[in-house]
Amino acid sequence: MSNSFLVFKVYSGVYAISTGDIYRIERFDRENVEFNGEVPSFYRVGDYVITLDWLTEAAVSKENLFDPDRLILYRTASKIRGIPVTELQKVETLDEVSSYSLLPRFFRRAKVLSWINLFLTSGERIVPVLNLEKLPEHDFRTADAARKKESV
Amino acid sequence: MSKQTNLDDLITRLEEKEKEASIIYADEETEQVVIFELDGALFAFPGRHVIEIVPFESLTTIPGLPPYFSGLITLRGTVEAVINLKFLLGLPAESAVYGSRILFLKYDEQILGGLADVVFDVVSIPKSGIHPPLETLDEKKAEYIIGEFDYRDKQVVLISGAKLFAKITELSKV
Repeated sequence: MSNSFLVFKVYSGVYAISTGDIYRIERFDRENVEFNGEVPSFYRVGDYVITLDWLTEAAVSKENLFDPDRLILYRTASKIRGIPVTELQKVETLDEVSSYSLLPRFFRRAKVLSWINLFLTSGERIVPVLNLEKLPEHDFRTADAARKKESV
Repeated sequence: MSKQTNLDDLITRLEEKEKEASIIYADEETEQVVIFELDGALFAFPGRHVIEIVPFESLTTIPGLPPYFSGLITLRGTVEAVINLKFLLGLPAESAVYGSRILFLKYDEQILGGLADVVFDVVSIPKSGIHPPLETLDEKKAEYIIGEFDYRDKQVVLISGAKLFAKITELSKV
């Protein structure tokens, strides 16, 4: 893993991605979005159509598609995918990060947070670093609705 | 004997009984408990499971976190999960307010935080004073409860740390 991380915001959530995992960053253009019904699921990049990973539980629709500012493109084993980003914040290097923290033990074998590799921590701040191999397995926009039905 | 004397006698006997109830005999087995409030009701954890109590400041929430978790927090540089006790106990789960406390519990080398409205006291109670929970107890609460005991004329529900950890582990495996 690279020693530097790009920290970014998706709505109110703050996340980080290892800079070595980034394929490209481009300006998010809503004209390139393709919908799966009402859900903005795909994005045209040149001749290709890639899948979008929304890091939010909020319902994303045509109305609030103006919010993303950039698109972080990343490459999985076989495909390129994209993360819409509200705000790019900064690149943190190993020296600037107070410490790393692993997932709490409860979650290490659970699927629920498998999209997090580790956390960057600094004081009260906890920033999840994305595990891009697992991220495509999660769709947070539908996860919230599913969980509301769940009874504990 | 006058009515007043009878009344005085009764009061004296009741006071003695109350005093006796609060005395813990040295040879009686006791359990240290941490008493806290959730939604106006008193609950307790066995003290042996509580490793730290910290004031609530902020929690980090992330997408995909199940509703029985309130969020994540750093405890001396380590990220720990904070469970939503109100949700697990079937109480109205409002967000934390100023003055809330996080009780960190440790069981079998695993650590979990639990959000409490107020932490009242840490006391030793005689084990004989812990009564089995009522059979009419709400099903959600019954899953985690060891029993009930009296504390300053109030009923306190004693939660089993082991049962709580087992339930969260089971739910988190999904």
